[in-house]
Amino acid sequence: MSHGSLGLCRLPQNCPQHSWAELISSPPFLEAAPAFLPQGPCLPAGLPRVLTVFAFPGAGPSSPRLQAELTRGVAAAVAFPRFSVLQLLRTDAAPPPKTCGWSTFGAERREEYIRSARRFARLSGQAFADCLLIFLQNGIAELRRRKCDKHGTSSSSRQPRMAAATGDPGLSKLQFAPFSSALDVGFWHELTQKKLNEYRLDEAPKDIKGYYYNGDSAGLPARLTLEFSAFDMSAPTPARCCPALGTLYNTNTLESFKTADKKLLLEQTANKIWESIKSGAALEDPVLLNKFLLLTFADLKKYHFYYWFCYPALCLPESIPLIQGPVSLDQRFSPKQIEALKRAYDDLCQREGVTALPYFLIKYDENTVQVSLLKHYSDFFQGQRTKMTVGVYDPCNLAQYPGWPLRNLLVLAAHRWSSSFRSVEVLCFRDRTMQGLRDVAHSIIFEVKLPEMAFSPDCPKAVGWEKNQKGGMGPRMVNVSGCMDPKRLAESSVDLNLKLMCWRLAPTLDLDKVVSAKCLLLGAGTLGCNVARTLMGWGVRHITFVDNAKISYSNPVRQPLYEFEDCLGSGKPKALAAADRLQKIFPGVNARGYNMSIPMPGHPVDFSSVTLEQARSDVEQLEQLVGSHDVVFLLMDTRESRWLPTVIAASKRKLVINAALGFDTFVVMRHGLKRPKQQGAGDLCPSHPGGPADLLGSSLFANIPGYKLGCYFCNDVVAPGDSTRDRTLDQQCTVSRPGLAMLAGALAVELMVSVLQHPEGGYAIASSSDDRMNEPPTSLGLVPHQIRGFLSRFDNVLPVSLAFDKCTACSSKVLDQYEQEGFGFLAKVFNSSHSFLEDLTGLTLLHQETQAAEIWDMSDEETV
Amino acid sequence: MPPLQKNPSLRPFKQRKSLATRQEEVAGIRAKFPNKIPVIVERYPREKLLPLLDKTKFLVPQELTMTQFLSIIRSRMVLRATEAFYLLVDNKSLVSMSMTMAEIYRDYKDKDGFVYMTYASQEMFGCLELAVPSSGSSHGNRPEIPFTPCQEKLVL
Repeated sequence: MSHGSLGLCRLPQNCPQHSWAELISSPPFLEAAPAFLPQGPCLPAGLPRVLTVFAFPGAGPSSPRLQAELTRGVAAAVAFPRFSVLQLLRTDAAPPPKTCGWSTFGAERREEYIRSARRFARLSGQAFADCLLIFLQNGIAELRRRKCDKHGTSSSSRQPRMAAATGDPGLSKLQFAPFSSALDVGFWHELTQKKLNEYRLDEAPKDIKGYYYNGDSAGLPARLTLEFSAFDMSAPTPARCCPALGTLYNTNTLESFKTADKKLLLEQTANKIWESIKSGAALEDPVLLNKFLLLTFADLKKYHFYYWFCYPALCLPESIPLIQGPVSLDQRFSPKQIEALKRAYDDLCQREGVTALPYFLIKYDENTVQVSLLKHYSDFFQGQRTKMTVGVYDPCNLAQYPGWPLRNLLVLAAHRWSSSFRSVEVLCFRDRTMQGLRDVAHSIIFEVKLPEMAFSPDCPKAVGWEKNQKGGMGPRMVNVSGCMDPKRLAESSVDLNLKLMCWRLAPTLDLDKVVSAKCLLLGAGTLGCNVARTLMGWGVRHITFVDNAKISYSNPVRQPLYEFEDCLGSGKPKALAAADRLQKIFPGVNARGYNMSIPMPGHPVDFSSVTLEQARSDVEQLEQLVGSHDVVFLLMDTRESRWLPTVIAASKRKLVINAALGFDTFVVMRHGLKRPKQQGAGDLCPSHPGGPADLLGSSLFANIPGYKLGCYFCNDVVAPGDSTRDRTLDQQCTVSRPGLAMLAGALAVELMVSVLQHPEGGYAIASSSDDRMNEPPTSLGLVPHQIRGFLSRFDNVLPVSLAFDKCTACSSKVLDQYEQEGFGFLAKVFNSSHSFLEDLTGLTLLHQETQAAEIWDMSDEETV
Repeated sequence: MPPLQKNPSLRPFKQRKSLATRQEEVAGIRAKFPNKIPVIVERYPREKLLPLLDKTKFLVPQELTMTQFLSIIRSRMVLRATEAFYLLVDNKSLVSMSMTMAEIYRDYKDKDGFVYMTYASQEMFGCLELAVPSSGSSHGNRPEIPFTPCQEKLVL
């Protein structure tokens, strides 16, 4: 891309549409953008599927203005999801033109565009956004043309690749701008479907259809577009576009793609064209002149497509001398004639029931212009013996050169009419609508000498294989994995949704911290399912379940990861089924399930050496899992099952989020995060002044840092034990209001997210209910220690509690024992009654002492 | 907690007595026993597992810690050793276990002069599941552990 010129950039082909936001906001893209500038097929397909946005005049990647434009662009793209391509109109710094694009136009002009587009949309039935796009593009082209005129340069910095022209040096030779193939992502998608479901190993040629357009703004190359509709021969051609009929040769292997006889394929098609010229069929139906070939190989594993496009053009035996060089139509025709031409062309279209004519005949004098179909040439030109004029619907935009479709018409003319006419005048009909006004004045007109070839019966030589991006004769490759692979599409959509949050609602949100958190869910029941669902909503990619239960018939209604089918045959293991389901919901997630038990205090494991070894390996497995995750969720259904993971996670300094349900109450809390182990505990966390000394001194609503916060077991003075003995059925079941688990599960995840957003993470000072009116510590708000919910009151409170120095799980006595003795200590806890832990922590002694305390109790009436 | 019980004897303490009466009562207590803290302990209205205390008004030595107080309440309720509960102070706070009653009184006393505490059993469920496994369908129980008769019933 040369500096100073206006280009259309297209996002790289491996960029899925939904990750634009991410892509364009990353500096590497902005710096690399010029590399994506159009090279043939990179150019987007037909206009209506393209959303063009925003020039950014000489702006650096970090320019706020540029960011704003891009943001608006992506917002529009999101609002109009049918756009498959986002174009960036870009002007690169250096000398003029300095500004172009939406931001170039003043408010007035923008208003005008919007108004015109609305009107146009109403009249044409096209989408408003499409219309606005057209106006924008035209406006930009117009600006640019004016600037170029001022500087006296050609409107295009790109020199077209010309068909070879040799011969008589006396007169200059006519040259043609070839087509660029524009293969839409939709085309590859459809080809994939056809290949998978219909063609399979069938290599037989298939009929396909493309189209081209003569209304592009200056600077765009002539394109032959293939869209998703290319395989449907009866699909209508887009309005005001001309169809081209093609043949698809899709090979089964890359090898046969490479070895395909391109010369033969070209000759076969050329022959068909030649036959239609000789037989006169092409006069009846001129579309027969517009044929193309597409040789493809689809690597559907990688979504790489290799292709070679060919638009066969028959060559005249000698080059074509220009009698009169190309000039724009307004230099040859009076405004009146131009008007008459438009009218005549439109009338003919209307009579034929089409919106565009690829080829037509023209007869004109000073006052009138008439057009007619090729097949009527003898009547139409009756009596005229010196000069004939033909019109070509011309996709090319260059002021000096006609587009490719003229070539076969000239061969037809030479074959049919060179005996009657010595020369032919050619009007390359270009018809665009700019700022609400239709314009054909930039069409070009010239006259060429018709070579004689009336009696040669053999098919002339043909050319037409497209050059590749490097300008050599070779195939092209396009990688559309980003657009095609539905898994990647899902992934980028999920991310986009989250990223939209950062645009306005929470601009300082650090999503990476959330998305990259590895979460271990202990328990895959009602809470586990709801926590997993909410984690998925936050885009968390790494979720591991631990559970030893199987799915039972009562589960699916409350546990959203299971279905009736999962309960059959004594039920699937929950942890595995939950992980599978997550993968189905969102293939981008890395979900695993471990069907294992968590040993518990008061539930002996010493029945045999087998059970003891099983417990040892369960503990090891759990230690390994806690170690390899960032956040541990405690979502089990008993108090005692929460003990072991609490101890392990406290020892490993992992963030623990604990959620537990009662009938209509719940608690969601983060366990206090002990200070890092190295050196003495005192000197670390300098941001938290004060040690244990000030524990008692300050008010409880003073700032309590994360390392002083309590755990689930800090609130009571009893060790966990087998809570399931001598309880009735309803006491043993989770009998809770059904909405409770969803509330608590969602709050558990939101608490985790808020903690992760805090710069100090798990060490964050705890927010309490009283902080609700204060300035929140993170962009998401408070970071409480606990949320205790009372559904009967529809109320939550945010208590903060300190770690208990006699806690049966997180006190230093317990952690020290665990760290020193490991499984030996744990086994003692599992096998003993609750008194073992109470003895260790000093609770037993405390119980005994307190019985002596003098407490007087009184009924209401009693008083002192 | 808001009133839920229709039975007048189960109405919260605050509703059974007027503010003036309560203030008067506290003034009397504080005058006679400056070292005792007047505490009202009530059950969370929807609590189903924990028993109701027969008394609601307690005079507690001011140097007693929360840990000790909790332990005493436990023994008054005659809770099973594995039954966990918590005391919510002033309807919204969990206080540090090492806090003394004097400190709690300073920070949390009501305008009538009492400290109000509510007890409720600690939540512990997470699954819609029998807390006890039937054929190995819950946490941590191992197949090797013989079922108690009670568990046998559940299997049916």
